[in-house]
Amino acid sequence: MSIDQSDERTAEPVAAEPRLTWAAIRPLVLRLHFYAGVFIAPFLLVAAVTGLAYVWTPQLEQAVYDHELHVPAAPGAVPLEQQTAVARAAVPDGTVTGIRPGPTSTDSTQVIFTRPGLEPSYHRTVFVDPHTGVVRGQLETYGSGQAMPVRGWVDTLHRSLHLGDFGRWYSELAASWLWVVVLAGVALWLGKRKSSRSRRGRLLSWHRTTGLVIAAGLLFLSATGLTWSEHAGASISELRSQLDWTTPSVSTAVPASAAQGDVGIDAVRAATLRAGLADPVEIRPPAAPGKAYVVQQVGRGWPTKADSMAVEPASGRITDTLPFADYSPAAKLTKWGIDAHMGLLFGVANQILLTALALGLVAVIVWGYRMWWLRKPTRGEARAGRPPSRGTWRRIPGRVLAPVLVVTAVVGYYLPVFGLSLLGFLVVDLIIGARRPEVAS
Amino acid sequence: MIEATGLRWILTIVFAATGFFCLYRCFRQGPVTSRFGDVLHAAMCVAMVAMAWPATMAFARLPQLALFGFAAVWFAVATARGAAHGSRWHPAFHAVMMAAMAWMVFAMPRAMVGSGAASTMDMPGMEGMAMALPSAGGGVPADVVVVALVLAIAFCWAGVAFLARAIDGVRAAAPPVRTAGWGADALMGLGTTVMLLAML
Repeated sequence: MSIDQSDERTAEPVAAEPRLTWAAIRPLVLRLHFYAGVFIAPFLLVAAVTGLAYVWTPQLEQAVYDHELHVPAAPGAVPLEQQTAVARAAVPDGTVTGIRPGPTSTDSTQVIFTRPGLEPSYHRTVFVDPHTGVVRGQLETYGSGQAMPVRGWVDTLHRSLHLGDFGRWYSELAASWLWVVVLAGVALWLGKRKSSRSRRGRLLSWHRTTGLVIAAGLLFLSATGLTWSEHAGASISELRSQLDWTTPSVSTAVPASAAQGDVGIDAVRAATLRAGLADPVEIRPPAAPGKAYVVQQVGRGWPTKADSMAVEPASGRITDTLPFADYSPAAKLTKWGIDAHMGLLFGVANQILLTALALGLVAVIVWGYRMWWLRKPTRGEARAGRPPSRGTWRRIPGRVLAPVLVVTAVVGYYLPVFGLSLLGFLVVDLIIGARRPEVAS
Repeated sequence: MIEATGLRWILTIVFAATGFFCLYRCFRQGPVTSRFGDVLHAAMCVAMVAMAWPATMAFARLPQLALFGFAAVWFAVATARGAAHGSRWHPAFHAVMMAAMAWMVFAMPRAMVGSGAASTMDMPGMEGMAMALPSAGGGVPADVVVVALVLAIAFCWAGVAFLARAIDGVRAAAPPVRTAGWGADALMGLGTTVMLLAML
């Protein structure tokens, strides 16, 4: 603070403020798009290729695990209780966490176990022929979607490159920057200049046209992908919690006055079937004494089947029902977003769309790198193309740049991988600028 | 107190940097009144750092109240004097900031009691993720929420305005200490905004 106005601390700036025009902003946006593209594109490329592989794993696992997943059609069925007992004998050190009856007569029953030594979110699943009660095999499955080993492997590859929590940084880096690169690209397209007829001009035309076509899809993948990420995902979870956007769950509380005993899995399934809870479902035994069975629809397609019911073990009475229709709009959007990102919501159409997005992203990245290469001077020692010039921020008034910086800082805090990498870019850029003052404008 | 460890460190670095800058400027130049203002700012930065950490958040509340109450009056007088020179908003900003600081010291215990402790639950369908549950406290008192929000908006606006000045100062190659001063004002305004929002 100063009281003395002659002090230099409070004197007004003397330079005239630059005018805010697209011509002033464009170089900064171009520089952002260029650097983010050059440095993040390898991660995006890996995410696109592994994502492309993941999209078609549902069909792949049906073929690879045909023996476990499918059974010959036959009349009659062994009670679920008996099938579960057979499965328990196959995994003596396991605890049953769920039973998924086959939705059709050619599907096996999946009895899901947790057991010591399994990684988080992994299960041991025993596949039982519902017509004969014979075990057809057992596999390590992943997640609430019961991904078979091949899908689980590709899923982990897409998410973390099989490098554990460290590997999750790659996918978070890709998802954190994807929306930035896309929005900057769209802004550049809106203020585009006419492309030249050179080879680089043609590439630029393909790059921006394809990029524009896939922009909305990429923004969707970025937003939904961030919900899975380790650090940004935690921020999003906290935000959802504070806004009461969480996914609700059925109450498993049983009245204290309820009788002891257990009607069994078959009676529980029959009760929920009578109440209209159609297959595919997962029946989860009571988590503890005094808790109810939970029967939940596990369909990932459209229309959404995600209703759930709680059943009192002693009487087989339904004590709570949670239809998907009662989810909050945000919780519905979250589920649809996750299922669409995984290519499950709209079946093959969804898979084709994601394939097109992945291929489009790969093409845009390759064209982008090619354009950079073509910027390389034909003479001299430069090994790569020249980046857009430095110091472009100086053309933008402080009243515009300041709120942008503050918003960027807030976003960087909630998307920490984005924030830290941006900080890293700026530090490297400052060091390069300090070492090569002649290029700083 | 700031619960998130990362944010706590960010605020510590921000206020430590601005505090050191104020001390540097205090020793470097200016009349006695300005130097005294810098000392008050440095004290405010130390108090902000202390407030961010659980072990020191309740340190010397009454002396802090007295100090920042006095500081608010000091800058209010500076505002009145500044009117004679044609600029009063800059010291007025500091007067409000010191008053806000005193209010935060006063209101923090009530806000902390209301916010309670948070817990987490697993998220079905999203492997490897846990979700924070709402805190178990009875909620932050309404008067604290209203005052904190109004002050946060005001300091955010002022912080952005100072940042804009700092950016324009760099572009215009203004004297570095002057530009850094605007930057420090921006950081103090924005940092105070975060501290106020963290009370809610």
